[in-house]
Amino acid sequence: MLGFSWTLDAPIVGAYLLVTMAAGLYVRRYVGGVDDFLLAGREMNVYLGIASLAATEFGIITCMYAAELGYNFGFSGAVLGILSALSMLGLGLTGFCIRPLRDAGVRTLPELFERRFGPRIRWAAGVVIVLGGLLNMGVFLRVAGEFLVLACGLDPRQLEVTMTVLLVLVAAYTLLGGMLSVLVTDFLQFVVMSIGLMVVSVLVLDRVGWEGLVSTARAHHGEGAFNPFVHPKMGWQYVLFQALVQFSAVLTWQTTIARVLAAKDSRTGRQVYTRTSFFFVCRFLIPAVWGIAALALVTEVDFAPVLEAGFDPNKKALYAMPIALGKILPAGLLGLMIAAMLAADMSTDSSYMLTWGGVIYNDILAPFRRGPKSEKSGLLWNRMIVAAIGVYLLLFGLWFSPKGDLWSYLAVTGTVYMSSMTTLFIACCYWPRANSRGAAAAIAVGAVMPIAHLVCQHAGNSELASWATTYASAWGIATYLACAVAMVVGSLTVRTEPRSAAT
Amino acid sequence: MTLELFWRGLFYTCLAWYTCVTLYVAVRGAFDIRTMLRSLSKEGRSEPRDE
Repeated sequence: MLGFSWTLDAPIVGAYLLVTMAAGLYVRRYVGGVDDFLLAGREMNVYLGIASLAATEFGIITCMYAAELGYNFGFSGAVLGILSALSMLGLGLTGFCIRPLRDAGVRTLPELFERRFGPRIRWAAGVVIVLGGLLNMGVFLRVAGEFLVLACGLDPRQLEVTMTVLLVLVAAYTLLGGMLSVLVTDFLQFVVMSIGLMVVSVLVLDRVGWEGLVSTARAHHGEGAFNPFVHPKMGWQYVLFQALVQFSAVLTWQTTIARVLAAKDSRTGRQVYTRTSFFFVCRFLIPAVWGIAALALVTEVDFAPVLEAGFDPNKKALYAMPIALGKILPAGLLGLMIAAMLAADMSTDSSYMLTWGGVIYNDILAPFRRGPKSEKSGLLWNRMIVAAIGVYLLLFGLWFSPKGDLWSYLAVTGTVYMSSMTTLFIACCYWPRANSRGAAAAIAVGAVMPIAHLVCQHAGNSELASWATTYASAWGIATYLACAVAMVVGSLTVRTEPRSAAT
Repeated sequence: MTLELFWRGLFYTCLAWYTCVTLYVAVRGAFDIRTMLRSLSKEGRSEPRDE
């Protein structure tokens, strides 16, 4: 391992952190109210939106799970990126759901649902969004800490310290500047992250070569390395479930639609979607190729010190990519890569903290607020919520490590809310017969089924855990179908006057 | 062989697209930030406030 150089790499990382923090803290002076804090005053334009969306949707967590998919499935692991890009392009071109959402002028998805299904559904939707989102985000900090420790060759006992420092840096500017700081720092982070990704990819190609990548993938996965439908661990059920997950993610994932809500108008929001769509291919394919390179470069000898230090022996596929980067990147470039990954991670964490915090303030706590609150009080509440999410992230990350591969955990926890929110969103915009009973039934089914799956996987019964892992995709597809059925059946059991779209 | 070529073409397209978009967005995004901050200053926040 070449290792992190304190004379060459540390100044690069330090300079990046200094500039980002300064920019993030500078714009806090423009925050005058809750709308500025949560949605940057709805003044975001197309190119800033593209940079922000791309930076938010690419964190260390993305890099780690996409590389793990490349390690486990070869090039087929990147099919998720293609599915995601197609969904995003379709939504951007047609304006399906996202146009009525932006035109409604709401702050969050549950706020839109209130107009159609009433305040109780708004509250319930807020709860499942936060439940799924925080379960999902809970692993971000640990995985980022693991990446930095492994890539830099730091003492593994410093994992907790690394996690805490990372969190404090992100929380500082997010707390003060909200979405404005997030947008400005996202822009800087997008540029640094992109340069880092390009340089590392060229180095990986130089070191392993395209033919080396292809032969490694074929040696480990056969033809399944190139075709997800014939890969023994993938198949049509896996692809179909991932298509549903990717479509619902770009349609309802709060951090993604926050860019539509922060856009100047619905046309700008659609342009951001259309023009960012291809980025979602890059987001999966580039790290997947790094994962295949790790398959070629990392041996049992490289894993030995990591496992001796107490890292989970069942997660070699996850650890391989950072170990490989630590091996091949020379001093100076390692610093650039660390700065790029920090950029990617800080933009993701800040945006996630802000958007889940926004849902807690706007939708879950709203019924408990008595009388109108001043903008100052609203800002204080939002900042306290963001700080509380930061503390939760640290505690959850220290305590919990998901079983199975990282992406599967994220897909299942995301399904807790994406399955029902997708159903509600489409019905809210386009089905006049939809009503609150159908919405409540869909939310209940969408939350119970994935949580039951998670419990089976983590309950400690190996037979049950193995069953849950084997049928994860079928269970996921069933969850989406059950939500749609619950919405239709629930709505048709009560006679209500057909209503037009929520706007 | 066809699928190999597909992934190869897609990967190099990603690298080329990413490079072009980064350069373009870096320039246009900077203008967007300037416009956004100006607009926020004008909207009843003519004097940017220190907290």
